[in-house]
Amino acid sequence: MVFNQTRRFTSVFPFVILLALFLPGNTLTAEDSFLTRVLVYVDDDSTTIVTPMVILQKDIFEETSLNFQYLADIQSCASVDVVSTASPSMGYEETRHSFTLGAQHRRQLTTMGGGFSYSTENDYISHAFLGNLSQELFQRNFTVGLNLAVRWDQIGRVNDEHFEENLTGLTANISLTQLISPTWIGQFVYTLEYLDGYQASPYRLVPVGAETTIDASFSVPETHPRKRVRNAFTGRLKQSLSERWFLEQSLRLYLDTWGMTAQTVLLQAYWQISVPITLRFRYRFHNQNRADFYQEWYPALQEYMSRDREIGTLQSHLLGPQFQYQTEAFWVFDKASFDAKVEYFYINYEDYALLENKEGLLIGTGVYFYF
Amino acid sequence: MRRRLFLVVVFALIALNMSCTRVKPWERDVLSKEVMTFDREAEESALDHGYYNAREGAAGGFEVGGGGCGCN
Repeated sequence: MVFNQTRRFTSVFPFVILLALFLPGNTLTAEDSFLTRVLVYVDDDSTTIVTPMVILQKDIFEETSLNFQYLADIQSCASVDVVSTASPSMGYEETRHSFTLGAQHRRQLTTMGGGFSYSTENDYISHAFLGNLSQELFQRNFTVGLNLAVRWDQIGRVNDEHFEENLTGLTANISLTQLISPTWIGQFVYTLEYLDGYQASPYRLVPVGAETTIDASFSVPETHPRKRVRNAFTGRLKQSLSERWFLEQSLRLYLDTWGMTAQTVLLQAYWQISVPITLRFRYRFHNQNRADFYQEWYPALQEYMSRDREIGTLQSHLLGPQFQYQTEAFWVFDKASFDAKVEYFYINYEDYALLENKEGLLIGTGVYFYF
Repeated sequence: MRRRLFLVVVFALIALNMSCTRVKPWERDVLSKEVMTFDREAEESALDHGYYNAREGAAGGFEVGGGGCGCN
């Protein structure tokens, strides 16, 4: 498997941007846009991730547009699970590059699109075909949307040329959006995901007979079931409380064939201070119960064994404000917007021996230009 | 458990549709505001869910933008 393509793509990326913007014969039209976002994740478990993203969208015909997205995950991690089981290193640094090229076509009340996504890092390559279709019905009171994604991944292990695993997946989303009243709008989303292949970590070791690898008589590589079917049901409501205040509330219920169940609540209040300025306040709560085979520690060998705290029992809270500024006719642009946020999160692990909880910040900003 | 959940979802769907009155185009002044659309923050949401999905065992249910209020 060739994992050194990262450098090649990194060097090619600026030229792709230039080509997309300045191809001869391309003229910018009313729907063209350029946006960039950055999200920084930092926690007290020695992990920092910086994620810059760029999206270009350009009309090629009156009803058809092309879009290109580049995203990177620049990760520095010395998390307790990495340090305790992934030695010999005391952590790692890696970068993932993701490229997506897509097209969108809108004809009257129908929108359809498709695309291809490719992402690469030093031990993981992913490919995906994407498709979407949405139709507005009943005098545009009701919209039904369908999204499909098919992916196939290759998983490697650094410094181990013989390790090679695969993962394939199919994800289907259906969304139903309904105008409920002149001040209420509702949406229901169902997601079905089918995964088949390697879903453990090639680096994690599971201690047997003790909570840590140091105390255990021996450790074994993590083993997860190769098949997983995931279901997520989400209901969302958005309402206008007054001329300047808006509220969004949503509830997601999740269950999968590994025995995991989860509930996620999201509340977002928007305060339009003035025409260009909006403040958003967000609170998110997530609760999940562990997968059937997950245990804090394993007294003896069993078929499936995991050290992945993300499939254990946990609760997380996230809250924080976001500042949004939007203006018409800015410099050479028809419209521009800027936003910035700082969100605090806290995660409580109920059955993870190495860490009881962690907290951190999500710091994000975005700049959008419309031509 | 699954059957009960399925029934709850089906019921919620039916209730949502049945109870909804048709909103006329001239009644969509508030709904046409950008803040009232679900995909207003689609790119930010996509990045956020990348983090949530990596730190939680659940995924899905939020990634779909689209919809919209039919106000354009």
